[in-house]
Amino acid sequence: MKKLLLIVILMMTLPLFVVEANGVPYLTFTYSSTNGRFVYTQDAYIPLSRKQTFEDITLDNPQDITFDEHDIMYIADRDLGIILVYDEINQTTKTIGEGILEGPTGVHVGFDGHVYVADFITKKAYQFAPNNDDTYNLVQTYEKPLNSPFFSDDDPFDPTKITTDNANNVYVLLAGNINGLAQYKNDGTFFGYFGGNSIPASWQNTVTFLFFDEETRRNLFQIIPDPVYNIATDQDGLILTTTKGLDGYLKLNIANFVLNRSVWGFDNNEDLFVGPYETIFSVTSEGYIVEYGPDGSVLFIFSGTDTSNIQGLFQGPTSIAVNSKSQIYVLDNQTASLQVFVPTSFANLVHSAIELYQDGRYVEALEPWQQVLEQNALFDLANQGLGDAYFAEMNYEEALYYYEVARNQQGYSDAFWEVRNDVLLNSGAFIIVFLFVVLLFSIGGKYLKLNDILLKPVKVVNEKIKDYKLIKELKFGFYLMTHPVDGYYGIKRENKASYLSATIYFLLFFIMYLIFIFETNFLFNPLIRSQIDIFEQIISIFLPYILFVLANYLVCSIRDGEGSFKDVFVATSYSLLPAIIGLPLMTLISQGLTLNEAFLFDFGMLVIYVLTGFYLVMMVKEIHYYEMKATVGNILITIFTAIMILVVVFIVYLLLGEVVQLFLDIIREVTVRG
Amino acid sequence: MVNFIKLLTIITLTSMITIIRPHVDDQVASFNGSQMTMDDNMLSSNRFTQEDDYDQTQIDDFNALYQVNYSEEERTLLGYRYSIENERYVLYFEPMSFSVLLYDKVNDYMMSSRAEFQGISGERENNTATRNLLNSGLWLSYVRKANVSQATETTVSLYDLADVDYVNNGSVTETQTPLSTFEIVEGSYDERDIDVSVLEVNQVLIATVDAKAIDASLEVHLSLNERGLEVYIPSDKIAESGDIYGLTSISVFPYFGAVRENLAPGYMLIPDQVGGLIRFEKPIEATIRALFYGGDQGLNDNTRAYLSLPVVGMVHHVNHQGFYVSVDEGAELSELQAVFWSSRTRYFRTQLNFQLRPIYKAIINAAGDGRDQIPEALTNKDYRATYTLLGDDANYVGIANHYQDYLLNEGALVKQEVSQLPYLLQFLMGDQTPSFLGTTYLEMTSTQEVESILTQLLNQNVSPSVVALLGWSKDGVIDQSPYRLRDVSGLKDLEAFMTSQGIDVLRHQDYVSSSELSERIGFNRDVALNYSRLKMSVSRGSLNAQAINRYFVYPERSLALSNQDDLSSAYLTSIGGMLNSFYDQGFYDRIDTRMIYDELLTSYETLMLNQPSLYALKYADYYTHMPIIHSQYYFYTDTVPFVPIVLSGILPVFSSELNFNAIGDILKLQMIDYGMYPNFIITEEPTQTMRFTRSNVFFTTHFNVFENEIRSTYDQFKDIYDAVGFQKVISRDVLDLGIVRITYEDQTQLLINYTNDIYTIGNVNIDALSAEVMI
Repeated sequence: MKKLLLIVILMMTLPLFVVEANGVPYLTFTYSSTNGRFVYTQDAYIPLSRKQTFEDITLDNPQDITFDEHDIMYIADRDLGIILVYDEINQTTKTIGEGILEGPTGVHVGFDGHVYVADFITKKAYQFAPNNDDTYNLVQTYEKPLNSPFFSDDDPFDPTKITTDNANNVYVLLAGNINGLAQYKNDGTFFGYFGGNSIPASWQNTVTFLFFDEETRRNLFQIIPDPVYNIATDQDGLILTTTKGLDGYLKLNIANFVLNRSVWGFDNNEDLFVGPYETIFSVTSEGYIVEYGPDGSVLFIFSGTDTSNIQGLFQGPTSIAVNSKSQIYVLDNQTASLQVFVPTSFANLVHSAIELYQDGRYVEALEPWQQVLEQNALFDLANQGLGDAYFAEMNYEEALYYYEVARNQQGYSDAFWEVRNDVLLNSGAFIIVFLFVVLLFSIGGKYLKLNDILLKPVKVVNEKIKDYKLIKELKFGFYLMTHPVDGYYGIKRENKASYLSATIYFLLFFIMYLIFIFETNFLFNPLIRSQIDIFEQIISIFLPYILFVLANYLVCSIRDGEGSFKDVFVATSYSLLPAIIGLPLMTLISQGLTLNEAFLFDFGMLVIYVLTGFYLVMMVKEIHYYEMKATVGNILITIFTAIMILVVVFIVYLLLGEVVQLFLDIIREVTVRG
Repeated sequence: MVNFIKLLTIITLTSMITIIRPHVDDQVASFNGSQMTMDDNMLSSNRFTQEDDYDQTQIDDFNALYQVNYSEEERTLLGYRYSIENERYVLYFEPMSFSVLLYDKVNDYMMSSRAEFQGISGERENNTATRNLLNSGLWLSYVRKANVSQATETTVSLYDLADVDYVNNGSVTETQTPLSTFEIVEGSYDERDIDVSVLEVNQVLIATVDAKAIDASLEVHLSLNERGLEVYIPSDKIAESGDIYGLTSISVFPYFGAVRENLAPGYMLIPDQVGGLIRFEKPIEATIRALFYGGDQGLNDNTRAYLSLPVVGMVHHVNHQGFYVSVDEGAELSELQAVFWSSRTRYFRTQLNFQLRPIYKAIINAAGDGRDQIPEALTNKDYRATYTLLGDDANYVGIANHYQDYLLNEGALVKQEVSQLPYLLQFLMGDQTPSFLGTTYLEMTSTQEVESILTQLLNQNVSPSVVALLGWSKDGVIDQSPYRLRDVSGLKDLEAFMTSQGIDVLRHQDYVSSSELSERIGFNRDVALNYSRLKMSVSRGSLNAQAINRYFVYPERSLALSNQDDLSSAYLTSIGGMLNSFYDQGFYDRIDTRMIYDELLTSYETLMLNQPSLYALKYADYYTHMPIIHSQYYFYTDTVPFVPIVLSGILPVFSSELNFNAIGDILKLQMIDYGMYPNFIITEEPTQTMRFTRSNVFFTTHFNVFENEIRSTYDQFKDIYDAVGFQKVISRDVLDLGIVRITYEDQTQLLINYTNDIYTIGNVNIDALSAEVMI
């Protein structure tokens, strides 16, 4: 997904139809669950200025930036060896750490108003406290613990970033340290690690865990968690981390568990910051700025890479911070500058709505969310917010609509439950009457032969067509379901089925599959209709089918299998009957289920898969007359053969392409040189 | 019984089905989003124009110390042997270095083509080679034909070719006098390598430059007209006599009017997008290098800056001294190079490079391997530029006014009769949407609905002057052009209705840019080849992850398609803003392309163009999508409405769609300030309906949402229009931070207050974020 977005954004140079009313050098995106992709949105921030000099101090290698509660700016400049303190309102500058710091790379203002600095060169972290005369005193140093089981003499201690929590505990990010953040009490006592990443639970890692010890895993296989790259703290003192190679960010609770995470993100974030509305901002190494909602949803993506000295784009961003007016400040160490972005009216509106939403004032948030939707009908959080607002107002039908647009499954499920409950309650009388009528018919049918009267047209039709060969062949499938051994024998020896009937079965299966993917309730269907490419689906069904039939026939023909190609083809098609019956049924059932009844849907699907799998295994066994052990072996070899056929075809295609290209190149060169 | 229970279960479950009726929230709420903060940081940013607030000391020093002034004796010493004169100007010409001094008799000051005031900073600067460039007014760029490469392209000045010795060779130091920085040792000018002969004919100096060292010769004609100094290079006089070297470009007077460091209280004007200023304040470690009229895909040039007018200005002292140069012929092949004071040079200057032949890469295989080459033949297009000096009109408005007058005289601009408030409504009628198999046309606004909306607006006294129809063809809109004439139902009746209401109705079309989705364009037949003989096809990512290829169509094919459709009025995108050279059994430059486009454009009675360049302006009745800012290079100090002022009172200019305005009233104020008129795009159906089409780039279009805003915006602009009319802007002054005063031809004044506070001028109070007309 992120690669896709990267390609999209990199290729996106002012298409002919681009909305650029606001005069910014980039496009702004948001994520739309409706479409399952990123969509344009109103510009949320506009670039204002680029600054390198603050009074008489010119940035050299700025690494980190933060604000305190009074919107005083703190910049850590590694090459200047100071913390630059800038008051934008009064346009005054101070410095911290002259003579103490040598290469500060991280700066943070704690809840106590003290300034915390990580210095990569001195290998220490510092705490500075403000004096009444606007100077700062060093009050505490955080160093590598001595005689600690966590650090041997050889272990590096390279502080890069620093932060604190609301208890003024200090967290120091050490470069390359896979254990997480070094945790200190405010008085400098080290007491452990926090926020380290875990090893992903991939198949490879799981298998390695089973067979090798930790030392081997670390040294031989390099299975170690990725080191945290940067950190931030929110207004409640909770720590957020971002790691290169991992998407987005993680927010951790005080117990060191992941409280929430971004639903999407770039994997090369340089920095994070939590804004005044508890939205999270990140900047990537390519200059993309992402603003997330408090729940991790993507609000805005904008900016990008600068190749032409354009204000609003970046060459080497290192840090991001946001002041109380939601103005974004980003440092760029390639240009040694600070760029400022201001929020537009649209962003201000979104933030107002978020503030109400976060406070649980869903109903009050209704109007601002509606205004947001007027500006962009696909804005996810707005649809989500409206869903919650209507839900709170007990207007469940409206909530249902907006949850579906936002593809919020839990919300939709809850709203649907309410709607369904309402319908059931209101139609109680109708259901009782209906059941009574059905009861009457079943009794009447039994004693008064009503069924005979009602079903007579069906019987007449059945009488007329039952002798047709094709109809018999099609009906044979049902016999095969209940008598698989006899059924496959009938296919093989008694010509009970034909190519035509098998093709019909297969096409029916495909049609049912299409109905399934298009019509299944989105609670149980991850696909978005507009994203379904019919030709892709054709290939995804037809190709495996053809490969399986072909491979199975080829394999079995050299392994003493008795089945002909026709037998394999026909029998495979007939084995799909459970799916042909089950898929539309599940589609229908899914319309009436909520997530609470998901087990019903899952169970139904499981039954379909198991039955179809069973019949396929039986097919191989009976058609080719194998024992069970040989059957399993045959199936595995069939799968392998199918893959090999695919690989060979692909290679031949590539080689042919090279040959054609060679001729074209010769022609081109002759033409050009001629 | 079991069967009965089965039946019961199914019925019960089935009865749980609730049919969800698609519901659209019809509530309308006008957008009253929180306004942006207009603080000093915002107003002093380069998104706005700043006050011309120069330090008086700087002005005094400039007037006293940094005026170019040579006595006759000094001119003789420096070799200015030739001179011509008219009522306004005197031109002195020194042929050996190809330098000029242009004297403005009316305003009594002189501009030099050389870098003046060298060495005054008290330290050594430059070396002999650099001095040769600074002191010569003619630079030739060339490559060796045996080794063509961008990297080996060499630029030489006449003094380089002549290998002169200066009286003080080497770096310029503070000990040198102003004259000695230019004096060469007598006899050191090697005429075996370069010879300049001058013939004066009827007050035209015809300089024949024979650059023997590189086997090239050319003529440069210098003359004076009422505008100023005209430089003319006839292409048929450019000759190459050898096989070793190939000329690539010529640059005349690269240092004309160059400003040293921050000595001049003025600025550089770049007509980038809407217009930008770079004040002479501090060093800038960057340059601008851009072709006029945008990039050239034929040469894989993707210029960032968009210079729609071939003009650039340098104001040395605001409202006192300055000049601008316009490229009157050959702009399509000209490149602007704006160079700034930096660690590499002490001068702000603007250089125009006229391309004689491009360097392109000849690709020989699919991997993109190849080598640089140049076409065998030199260009057969002439170059003409005029340098105009300014006096009390030495500012960007003065330049704009001058240039407008010139364009009107030349017929490059045609004054449009405007009798009502220009107001653009675009209707998106439909687009292609994915269907089960392929795509189908999704109607967003039917013809009846368009008529109904217009009737409703007219009844509310909102009179759009022009309506553009997008998606009028069942081919769709985005990436489907050029559209086939598959009119939606009732289109002709709708057009007749609008015409009867006095509304110009324009169908949207694009004959220049296409894509693989278009039904009318064949890849092999219609997609143009660039100079590398590759198809001009750019892959553009779409938000649904399917990258599509966008094409540039052969100009002849564009013309044929346009003739085939025979539309009398249209809204054409691309054609005014995209000018590419191409290969078609031979090399065709941008002028060749432009000439074909001229033929295409003349066939229309009513035309609206999307941000067109100069060459297309004379055909346009409306100009749309005027940007509100420059290309946003960080070194711009101001945004100025240069291009809108050139067009003021002549051609109605529309903004980009206001649907996507995220900055609220500020954008509207800027529009009023710049003389731009409103533009909305609307659909009858909610925007969400087309979320799966490519038109979802228009992410908010529903008429219900914008109805009130269309009306209120109309009223706002109508008030201003009724008071001001459609007039030429004759001055624009920044009175204070965020306070702008515009004066029109009839002396009506409009005050714009961009601040959050009331501003008082005289006894008039201007509300925050508002505009007030003062008659």
